[in-house]
Amino acid sequence: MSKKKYIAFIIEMVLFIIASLAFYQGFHYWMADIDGFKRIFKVCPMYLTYFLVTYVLFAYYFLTHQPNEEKRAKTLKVNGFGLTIGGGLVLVLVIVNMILGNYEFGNVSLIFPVDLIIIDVLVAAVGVFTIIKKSWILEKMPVICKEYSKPKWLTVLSRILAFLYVWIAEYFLGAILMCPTYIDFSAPAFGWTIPLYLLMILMSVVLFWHEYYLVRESAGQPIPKKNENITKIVLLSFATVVGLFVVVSDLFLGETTYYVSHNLQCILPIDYMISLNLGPRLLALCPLIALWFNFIMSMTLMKKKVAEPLS
Amino acid sequence: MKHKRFALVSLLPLLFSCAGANVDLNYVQELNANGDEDFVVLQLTDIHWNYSTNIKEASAYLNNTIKVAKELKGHIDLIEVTGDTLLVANKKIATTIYDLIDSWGIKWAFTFGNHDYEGEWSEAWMNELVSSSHYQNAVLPELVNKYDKVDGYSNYVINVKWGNDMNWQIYNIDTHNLVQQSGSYDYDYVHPNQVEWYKSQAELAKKADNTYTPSIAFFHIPTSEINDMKEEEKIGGIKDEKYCPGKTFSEFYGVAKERNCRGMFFGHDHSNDIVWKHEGVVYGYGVKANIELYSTEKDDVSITGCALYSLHKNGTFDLEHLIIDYDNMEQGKSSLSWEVKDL
Repeated sequence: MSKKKYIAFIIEMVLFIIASLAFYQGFHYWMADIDGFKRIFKVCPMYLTYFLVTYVLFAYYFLTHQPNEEKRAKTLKVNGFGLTIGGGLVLVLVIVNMILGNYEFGNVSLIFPVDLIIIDVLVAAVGVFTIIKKSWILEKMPVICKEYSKPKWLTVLSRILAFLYVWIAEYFLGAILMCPTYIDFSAPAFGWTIPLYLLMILMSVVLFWHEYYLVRESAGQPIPKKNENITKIVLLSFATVVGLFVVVSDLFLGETTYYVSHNLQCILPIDYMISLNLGPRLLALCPLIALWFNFIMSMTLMKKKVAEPLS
Repeated sequence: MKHKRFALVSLLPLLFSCAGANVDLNYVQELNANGDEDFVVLQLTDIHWNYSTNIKEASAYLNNTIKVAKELKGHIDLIEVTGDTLLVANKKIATTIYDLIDSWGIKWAFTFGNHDYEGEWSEAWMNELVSSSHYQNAVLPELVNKYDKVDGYSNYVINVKWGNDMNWQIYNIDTHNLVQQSGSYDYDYVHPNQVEWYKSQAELAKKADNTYTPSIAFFHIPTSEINDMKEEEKIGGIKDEKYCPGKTFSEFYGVAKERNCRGMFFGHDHSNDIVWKHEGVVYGYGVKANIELYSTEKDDVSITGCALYSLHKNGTFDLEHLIIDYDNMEQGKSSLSWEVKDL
């Protein structure tokens, strides 16, 4: 059983990487039409297609992180229909746009809009498969987290923060994976961007580590407390030092080095749209908040464990 | 914007080391007028191709604009692409637009706009793409701007000659992108070391009688000085939005004026194509060459098309804004077009 759990964890990580690439691409399609949404009918299916890949990841996550059998069956059913309808509807929109001549073959990517069709068909197929093979999936798919007793408000808060964090982490992992298209090691002030790239990677590393922690717990092979603490201290120290470096260098040298506008404009389009330098601060804060939140939560749960041990 | 002085204190100084290459820093390109005819410059600005662009339709519009301008003037000698040619896009879209521009078989020059950095490429990649090393009709010398110490990539000069006489200079100046100021961004400007570079180039082009050669300058973002100018000598065009210049003061306007710069032309504000004269120098916006992002309309006609500058051998020039409605491009030159002679 524990082998299955590790395989499920690996699948989740692979899905996360694929979803990151898709989310980054979808976000950029969305940005292209954000000023007035004049071409929403044309562009909407383009970004929705790529955002659907993220939905597949979330559906998988819901399924593998729901220890309650009844809720799990319901989750599977709802998301199966969600994926089928989502994929199907966006596919129809893509085909209508093709018929209307809105999509010119190969003008966005080599195989555009065939890439959209392939993704939508795959998503819808995953949805249909989920509906048809519901019992098989429920039987074979392991749950890779334990049920923790948490106050309701904490559950809601942690879910909201987790969603926000995952989206941001996805976007920046996508940006890192796409960097061969835009990175220039000889660019002016490139060195100042290295801490930002490290934080982009760190955001995903924190997620990977969190999921690895959960799978080890649920497989009955928890990470030894000493190793867990060392990892937490290393991650927190790294996030603090690099985050501080980014904030301080941004405050004192950003104006003169132009390191963001030279090297990161394609990654931070929202910053440029609203003329606010948010990206570096967001990158500095997100891993820190996530790590501290996780740390405080685990302390709370630990206290609870001591008071009334979870079975 | 190559602030290399900070490279020494950065984390990985080696990564900065693009200096040291043995490059001949010759910023000057030379183009010849045909006989005694005017040298006609066509300015395209703010094309803004992006992921949502209908490329077939936008290409047709640009092709038609060039065709109408050619019919009107008889010939076009140089196309000035003054920035924001692209928006959120990828290399494929970027290559498509510059392939199209090069396919017209006319020499073309390029300056960076603030949106040209938003796509999936590096500044260096874009600089190389639009340079003479990549396109046979591009006049931007690639290596000069990559290895020099002048901020920006698209700083260069085109000397226009009638026979052996160099009667005009055309300056292309990179107004960069955005400048970070206390957590927010403002539009950038012509930096002091670019002003010094301009001075040195103007000195090199002095005539035998020690006078400066007449010139015009093209760049994307107007600098803050235009806010202080009264348009009491409006030449033509419309002002349909507030000016959006960089907020930092640049000495460029004063320095250029003293060195016989006759006109400074920019893009950036899509709903302005106003041109005016101030203290003997002509300042003004080009005409947006597409409807992407936002554009303006008057009498149901889109204020899109191109600006045309006919440089006379005698040091004066004509200016025309050729307005072609985007939705009725086949009708050609609209009645909203205007022209002023002998500026």
